[in-house]
Amino acid sequence: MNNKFDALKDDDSGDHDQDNSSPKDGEKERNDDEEKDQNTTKRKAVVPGAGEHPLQYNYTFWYSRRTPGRPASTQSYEQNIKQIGSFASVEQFWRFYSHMIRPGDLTGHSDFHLFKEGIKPMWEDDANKSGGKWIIRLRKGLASRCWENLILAMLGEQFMVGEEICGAVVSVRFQEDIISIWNKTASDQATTARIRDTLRRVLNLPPNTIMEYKTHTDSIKAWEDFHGLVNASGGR
Amino acid sequence: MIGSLIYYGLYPLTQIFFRLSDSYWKRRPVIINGKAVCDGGAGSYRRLNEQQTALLDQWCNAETEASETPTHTQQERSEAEGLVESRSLLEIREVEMEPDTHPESVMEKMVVSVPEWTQLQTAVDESKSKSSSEEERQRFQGMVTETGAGGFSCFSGSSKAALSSTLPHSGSDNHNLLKSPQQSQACTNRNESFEPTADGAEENENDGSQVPVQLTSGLFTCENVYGDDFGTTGSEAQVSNGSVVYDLSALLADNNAQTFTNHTWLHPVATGWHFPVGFGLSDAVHYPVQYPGTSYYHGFQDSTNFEVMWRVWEDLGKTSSPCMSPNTTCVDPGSKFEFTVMSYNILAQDLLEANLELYAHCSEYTLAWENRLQNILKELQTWEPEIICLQEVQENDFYEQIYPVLTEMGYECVYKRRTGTKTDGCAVCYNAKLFTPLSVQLLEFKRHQCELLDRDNVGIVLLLQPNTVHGEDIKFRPICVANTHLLFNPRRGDVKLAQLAIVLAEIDSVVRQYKVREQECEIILCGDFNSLPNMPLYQLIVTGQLHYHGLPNWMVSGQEDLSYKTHHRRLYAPLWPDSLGINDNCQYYNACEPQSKESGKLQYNHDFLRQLRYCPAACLRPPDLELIPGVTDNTPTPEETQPFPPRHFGNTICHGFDLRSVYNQNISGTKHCAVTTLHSRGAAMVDYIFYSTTKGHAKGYDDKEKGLKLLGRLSLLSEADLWLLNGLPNEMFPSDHLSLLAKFQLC
Repeated sequence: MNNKFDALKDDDSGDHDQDNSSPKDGEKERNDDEEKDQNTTKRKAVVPGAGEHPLQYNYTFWYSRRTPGRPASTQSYEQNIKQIGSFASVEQFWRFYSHMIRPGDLTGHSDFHLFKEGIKPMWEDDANKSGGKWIIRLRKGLASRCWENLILAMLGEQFMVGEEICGAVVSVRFQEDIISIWNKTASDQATTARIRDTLRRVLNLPPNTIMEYKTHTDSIKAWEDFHGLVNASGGR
Repeated sequence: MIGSLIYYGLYPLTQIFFRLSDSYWKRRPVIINGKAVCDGGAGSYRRLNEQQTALLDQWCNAETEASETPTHTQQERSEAEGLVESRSLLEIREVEMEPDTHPESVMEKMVVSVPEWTQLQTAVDESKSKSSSEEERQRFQGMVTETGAGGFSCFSGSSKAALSSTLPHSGSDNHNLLKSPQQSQACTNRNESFEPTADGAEENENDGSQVPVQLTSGLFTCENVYGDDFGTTGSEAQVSNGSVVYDLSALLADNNAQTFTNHTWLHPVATGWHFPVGFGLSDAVHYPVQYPGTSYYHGFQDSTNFEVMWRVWEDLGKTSSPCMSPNTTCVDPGSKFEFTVMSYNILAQDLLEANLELYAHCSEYTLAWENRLQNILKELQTWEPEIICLQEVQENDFYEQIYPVLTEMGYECVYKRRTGTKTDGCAVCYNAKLFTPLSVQLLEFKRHQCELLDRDNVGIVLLLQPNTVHGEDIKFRPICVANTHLLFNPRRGDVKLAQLAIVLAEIDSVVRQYKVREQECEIILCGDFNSLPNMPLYQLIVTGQLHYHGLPNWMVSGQEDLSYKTHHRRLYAPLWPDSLGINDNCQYYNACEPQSKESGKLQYNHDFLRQLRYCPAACLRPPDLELIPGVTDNTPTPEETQPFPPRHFGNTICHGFDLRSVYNQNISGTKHCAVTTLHSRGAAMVDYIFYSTTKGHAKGYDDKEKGLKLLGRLSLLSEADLWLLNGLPNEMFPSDHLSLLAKFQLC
C-alpha cells in the first residue's frame, strides 16, 4: 500500500477518505505504456469545433475502478485511474458523456472524475494540494442525476468562484454513492460557502442533506493513518 | 312601560334589527351543520363557494346529511348553487311577513334556528325556558350578542373600529346621523354604512345597551373580513356588501318614511347573493340606482376637488426606503437621478366603440374621442412624466394627435401596433433630454407555428441610459423599461403566462448584455397585465417563481371567478413549446450563450446544456474514446425521453429579477381595494408598475445603495369612489383605466 505513495503519491477523490476503502488495484490488463501515455503525456490540445459552444475551461474525464481481490499493494493509484478523454465544448462534452455509462449503472467500486484539463484528480496535484472538497453522500439511486447536475453546473460556470473549481468526482460504493467537488483553496471560506450554496441549489438537495467539507491535507492524513493501521493488521 | 311605548313607536326599526339578526341566525346553521366552524359565517361560506367548488360540494353533502334541522333551513340546503338564492328568497318572504308578525313569533323563529349553532346552546336553553316578554327579549338579545361577539372575537380589530365609530352616535337619531358630514363620508365606506341601522336598533333598545350594535357590526365585519382577506374575491365581497349597502342607503336616503311597507328594495339582495361570478353586473345595475346623483355624499364631495389632482400624491420618500437603509442614503445630490413613470391604458376608441355595452353608464360626451383625447393630453401635461408607457393607443390617433403633442413636449416615442387587424398598440415615450436610448425591442407575442401564442398582443422593451446632468463622471445604471398589454381573455391564463415569459425573456436578454460587462440594469416593467393582485401571474412577477402544475387556467389572472364550472382547463408542463426558445427561467435559450470569450465567463445553465445533449455532434462516438465494457459502451438514444428531464417537469417557472409593485392592493391606510380599471362589467387592479429592487441579491456588496427607490405615487381610487364619479370613463378620467404614476430615485 505504501508504495502508492512511493510511486506517485496520487490518490483518489471521494474514495479513500469517505469509506476508507482500500487502495486501488491496478487493472492488470492495462498496458503500462498506454497508461503512461494517457496520464502523463500531453495530448493534442482539444479545441471547440466550428459552431460548437466553447466552455470556459477544457476538462478531462477520468475513470477509476478497484478490482476486487487483487493485492492492492502492487499497483499505484495512478495506475488505476485512466483518462477517458478531454473536451473543450458543450458538444464535445456530451459526446463523451453520452457514450459513458451513467454512474448509477456502474458496477463495483468505481469512480468518474471530471477535472479541468491539466489537473490530475489527485490530492498531490499542484492545483489541489492546498485545496479541499465538498462531500455529499447519497443513498443509492440518486447518483446519476446528482452527478449530471453537478458537472453541468461546473461546466456552465455556475459556481461563480473564479478559477477556484478543480473538478468533481462521483464514487460508486457498495451501499451509497458519494459526489464531491474539489476547489483550490480550502482556506477561502467565502469560496467554499458559495460552492456549498450553489451545490444546494443545483442538486436540489433536501434541506437535511449533510454536506461535509474536507481539506485534502486532512484526507491525506486520514488515509495514511488508516492505511497504516490496516497494514499493521494485515491489510484489507 | 315607557320602554314598551318607545319600542312600539319605533317598531319599524326593530324590524331592521330583527331582519338582520334573523338573517344572521339563519346563516349560521347552514355553516355550522356543514362544518362546525365559527369563523365568519356567511363569509366563510362565500369564500369556499368562490374558491373551491369541490369543497363546497362536500359541504353541501354534509348538510343534506344533517337531518335534524328545522324545515325552513333544510329547504335552504338544496344544491350548491341554489343554496344562496333560496336563502335569500326565504329572507324576503319572512320579511314580508314581518309586519303582521308579533315580535314573539320572530323570536320563536330565532329560537328554532338557534339550536343548530352549538356555541349558543346555553343561551338558547335559557331563552327557551322564558316567556318572550319584551324584557326577556332584550336579555336574550343581550346574550345572543355576547356570544356573537365571542364568536367574532377573531375580528375584534375591525369590529372594534366599526364599533368605536358607531358609539359616539348612540342615541342620536337618523336625521342627525345623515347630516353629520363625518357620517355621510363614512357611508361611502361600505363597511360602516351599516351604522345608522345599528344605531336605530340601539335606539329602540332604549336601555342603553349597546350590545346589539356590536352584534350588527360583528356580523358586518365578518363579511368584510373575508373581502379583505381575499383580495382576489374582494370584489365579490363587494357584491354582498354592496347589496346590503343598497338596502340601507335606500332606506336612509328615504328616511322620512321609515316604514317597510315597500319591500321591493330587498330584491337586489337576492340578486346580489345569487350572482355567481363577479361584482360587475350587479354593480353596474345597482350602483347608479343606489346613488341617485351624488347628493347623498355632500360632505364628501365638498371636501375634495374634482380634478385630476383629486387623486392624492403619496410621498413615500421618507417613510419607506425599499432599497436602502436610512444611513446609506445618497447624500450627494449629484448622485441622484429622479424621474417619474406613468403607465396608462388610454382605451382605444375602436375598442370603445366595439364594446359600447361596457360604457353604457357614460354620456356620449365623455365617450367622444376628441373629449377624451383632450383629457388624456391634459393628464400627460399635468404630470409630465419622464417616461410614459401607454397601452391601447390607436395607431392613427397616436401619429396624428398624440405623437405631435408629445414631440412638442420633448418626448421621443416608440410605438408598436398590435399584430393582425388590431388598430391599437403600446407606446413608450421618454424625455429625450434625460435619456439616451441604448436599445429598442418591439415584441410581438404571436408565433405562427404556435397554437398557444396566436394572439395579437405586443410589448416594448427599451433600455434607457439616464443622462448625467451635472456633467460629472457619475454614470447611472441603465434602466430597462418594458411596457406591455397582455391578453384580456380571463380564461386563458396559459397565454398570459407565455406572453409574460416573452417580455421577461426579452428583459433578461437586454439586461444580460450589460451584466456581461459587469454592469447592472434597473428594470421597470409596466402595463396592463389583465391580472389581479396576488393571483398567480402577479405572484410570478413579484416572487420570481410560480408553481403552476394543475392550476386552473382561469385562476392565473383571477379576473373572473370561474370556479363554479365543472370542468377546468388546467396548466401542465410544459407551459409553452420549446419552439418559443424560452426556458422555464423565462430566459431565451441562447441568452445563456456568451457574446465572446473575453467578455466574461462562459456561463451556461442546465437547460441550455441539456438542449445540446443529442445534437448531431454529440451523438458521434469520440474517436479517441476507448471502449471499456460497462463504462464507455453506452449508446446515446435521442428518441428515448431524456433520463433527467429539464426543469419543465419541475412544473415551476421562475425569473431572476426582484420586482416589486409600486401600488399596493389596498388604498393606503384603508381596507379598500384600489382599482385601476372600471367599466360596467367590473372593476379591478390590472395595471401595474413593477420596479427592480436590490433585496437579497448576491451581487456586488458595495452596490447596496445603488438602485431604484420609490419616492412617491399618485394614489388610486376605490371602486366606490369611481362610481361616485359616474364610473369610468368620466369627465375627469378619460379612459376606463386610471393612470399609474410613480416617482423614482436612481442612485
